[in-house]
Amino acid sequence: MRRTMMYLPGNNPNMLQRGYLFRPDGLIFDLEDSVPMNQKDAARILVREIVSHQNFGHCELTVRINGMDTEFWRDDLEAVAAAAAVNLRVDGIRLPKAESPAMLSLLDEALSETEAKYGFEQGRFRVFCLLESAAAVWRAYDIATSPRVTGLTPGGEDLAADLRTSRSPDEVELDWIRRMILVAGRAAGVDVLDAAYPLVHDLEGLRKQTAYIRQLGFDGKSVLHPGQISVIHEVYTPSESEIHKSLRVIQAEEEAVRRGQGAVAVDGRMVDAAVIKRARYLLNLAAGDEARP
Amino acid sequence: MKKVMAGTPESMDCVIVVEERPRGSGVSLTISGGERFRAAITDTVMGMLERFGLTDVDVHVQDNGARDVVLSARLEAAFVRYGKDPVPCARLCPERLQEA
Amino acid sequence: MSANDSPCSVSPASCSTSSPGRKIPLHIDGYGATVPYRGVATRKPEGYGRGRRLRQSGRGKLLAGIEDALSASGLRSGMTISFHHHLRNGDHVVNAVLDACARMGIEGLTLFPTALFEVHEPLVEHIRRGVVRRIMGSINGALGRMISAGEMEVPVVLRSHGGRSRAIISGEAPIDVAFIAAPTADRYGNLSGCFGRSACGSLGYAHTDALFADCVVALTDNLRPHLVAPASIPQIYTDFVVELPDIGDPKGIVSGSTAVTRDPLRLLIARYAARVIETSPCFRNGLSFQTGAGGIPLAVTSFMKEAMLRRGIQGDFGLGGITGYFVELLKEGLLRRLLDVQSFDAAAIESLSGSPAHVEISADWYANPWNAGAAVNMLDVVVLGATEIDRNFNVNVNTEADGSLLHGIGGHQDTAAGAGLTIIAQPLLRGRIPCLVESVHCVTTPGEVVDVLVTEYGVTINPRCPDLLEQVKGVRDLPLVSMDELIDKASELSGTMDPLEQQDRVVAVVEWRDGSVLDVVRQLGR
Repeated sequence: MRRTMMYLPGNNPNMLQRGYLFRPDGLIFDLEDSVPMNQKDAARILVREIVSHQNFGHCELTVRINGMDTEFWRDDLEAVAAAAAVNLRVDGIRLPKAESPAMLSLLDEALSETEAKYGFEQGRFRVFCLLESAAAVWRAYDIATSPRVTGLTPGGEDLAADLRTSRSPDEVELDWIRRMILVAGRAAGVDVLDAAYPLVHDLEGLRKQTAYIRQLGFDGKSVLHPGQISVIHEVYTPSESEIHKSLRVIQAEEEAVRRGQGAVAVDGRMVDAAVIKRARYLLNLAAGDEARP
Repeated sequence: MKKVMAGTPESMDCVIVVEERPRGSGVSLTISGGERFRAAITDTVMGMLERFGLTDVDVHVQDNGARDVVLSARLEAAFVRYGKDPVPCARLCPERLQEA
Repeated sequence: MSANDSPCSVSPASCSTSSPGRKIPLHIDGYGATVPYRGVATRKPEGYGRGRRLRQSGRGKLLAGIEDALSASGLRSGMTISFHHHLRNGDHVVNAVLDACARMGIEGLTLFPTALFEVHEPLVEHIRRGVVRRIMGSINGALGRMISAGEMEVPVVLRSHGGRSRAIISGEAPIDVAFIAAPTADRYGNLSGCFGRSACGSLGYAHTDALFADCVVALTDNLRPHLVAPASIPQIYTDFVVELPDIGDPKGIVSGSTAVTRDPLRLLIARYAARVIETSPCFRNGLSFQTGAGGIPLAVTSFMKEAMLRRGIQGDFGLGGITGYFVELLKEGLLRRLLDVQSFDAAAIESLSGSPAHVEISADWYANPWNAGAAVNMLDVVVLGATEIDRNFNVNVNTEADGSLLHGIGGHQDTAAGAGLTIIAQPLLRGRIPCLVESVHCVTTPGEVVDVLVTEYGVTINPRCPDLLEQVKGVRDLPLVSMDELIDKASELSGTMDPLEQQDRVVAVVEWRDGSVLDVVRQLGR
């Protein structure tokens, strides 16, 4: 479940250590945009040590490394691997400015070397790609089908700039981008996660946008501020009637299997594989929130 | 004389200043803040100095509520900036974190 | 429990144990014989309390200055003088009166304020010079450090607001002269806190002093030429009135602390606390609650408002220190009444002066355990803070992590004992300092009146509340965490603390609201 993936600034001990208490589904330890150039070394060490020594509950743990067009990314990978050697829950890399399958191949090679060096099984590290240019969005399906890729996320500011526009309140400029990435991701069988809502105190705007991207089919959204988490979770929490209906679907399916019947109907609608899949997804969303520690 | 700094004065962080001392003059440690944790801070600083093989330095810790893991990371950042190679430490066993 | 005039020294007296397991000397030099605490309501009131001194009614109450008032009041060395703290950190009256005492050679005084603030740091010198010999009331800042270091001859006595009223009315703590800062007064001694440049709203903490002091001196910077009515304290209690250029600094009077926290972690704690309240049986029509003026409690008030609107609940009354957030609830019909012993901000002051549903109450009415019905006894819920809480849910609000005296008790004991549901809402750590410890340095409020601890890690229910535990189990987004887990977490995160060095000598006595001794604070250092 990746409804909320919260960015934690890599040089901020307070947020790095306490961010998980807000119970997002995942944490993104950020070594990229939130860290000033002259603090990259210190942030890398800080993230490595904190991730090594702390228990983050049920959060999925990923690290946003610096872009592959910088001098930092290989050192970042080394730090992630050192942390992952201690904290087995660390298994994701967020790659900013993912541009092409060729770039993903290079990253795959570097990760394979790191995995071999640390004695990890090959392919342990998954990659979530941030598509931050028009070219990257255009190649979304090819990127999504590259090795290790587990999720796609559209860029925000950088992408708008590359489109020669700026971010507007209703983000109309990202409308087609979101649909394109969603289709590419689904076609490739990976998760599709929306960019963060930048106005951290506008919770109504966030609620509206989250409802919209949920309807489009997104699995969740990046988070910049703890206050955004509960709003997104609320939007992604199925309603009582959705839960009841999903339960009836699953019960009908189980009953049909037990009796050796073929298709069955619920509320006058045939229950096929797609309906069952959707019902399971909704129940997972509903249970996921309650099943937390 | 070489002098480096790491960390921030923010809450739950600390600022570390490391300054070279003449050869053979040993380590000098000063701590500001960190009330009720002076012994723990001293132990961590001394342990890190030993791990990085640093001997003739002034270390000043300005603590603002940094936990041990943050203090260690800031010390390492300062020592690396001073010219030492990184030495990742791992104190918790992997099984424990896997259980989480 | 009268004060002992012998000099305080390390007492070899044998000890008893209060029920939270604290060693209490049977006799404390400078305090006297002790009655160790044995439970929340084991010390019973008997007989009659103190009566009012009879006076000859007269017309000439207005005096030219403080020194005239000191002379007229008959104040002599060794007597007890009292003050209220409604002017908070803006108060000029305590320092002005003590300066005048010093000039007139009056010394050995017992200072009996409802609370002291940083602004009263000049008292340090008055203590050193012998003008003040004893303090009964909260201390903090430089004064707290000084007394913790053993610089005061006799121990400080810490009482709750209710305990203080009880001690006055029962005759245990008589007041010779009460000095009442009055933001508005007339020449006959009718006093109001609602108007004037130093307006503070309620004068609730001064009522008991006004009723029972042998002499009452009002000090005002807003002397009205006409009758002040309605008055918080009427002329029948006021002996003298003194006009001063100013009694306080308005910036320090209207507290800056009445803003909801923006710290996401504190908001998280407040949300958990509000959810516990919403889940409990007391969340129903007719609900009454007190949340106070700190960042977390204000946020709880704000989340409770959301919940009350969502669930269509109308509460009965809000109690205690009143803020603009409570005033909003009153205006929106979510509460029917506000019972105001202390007004924290401009909105509360304005409401008190204009709304008949906003009622000023005395500390006696608010919290005295030995009257026929304190308001705290009607409380459904209270949300309180702590500097430390321990495995047995004992709470410390009196000493800081370094062991020095920091805060008074305020209404902590009273509301915790009176409310149906007592919640302590507090971050697990402040920086690296753990708030949850194996055993608190000083017991302010015993764990037997605390029901729930809420931290950023979730909700910890006192095992003595199994019903509540069942109610909150399985509530969405309300993590439950056991005391054992939480203590382990706090200790793992903070690491080993340097031990506190302290001596045997007692520097402060913490009374339970009934006057029994709950704990003592000892001198710091070798």
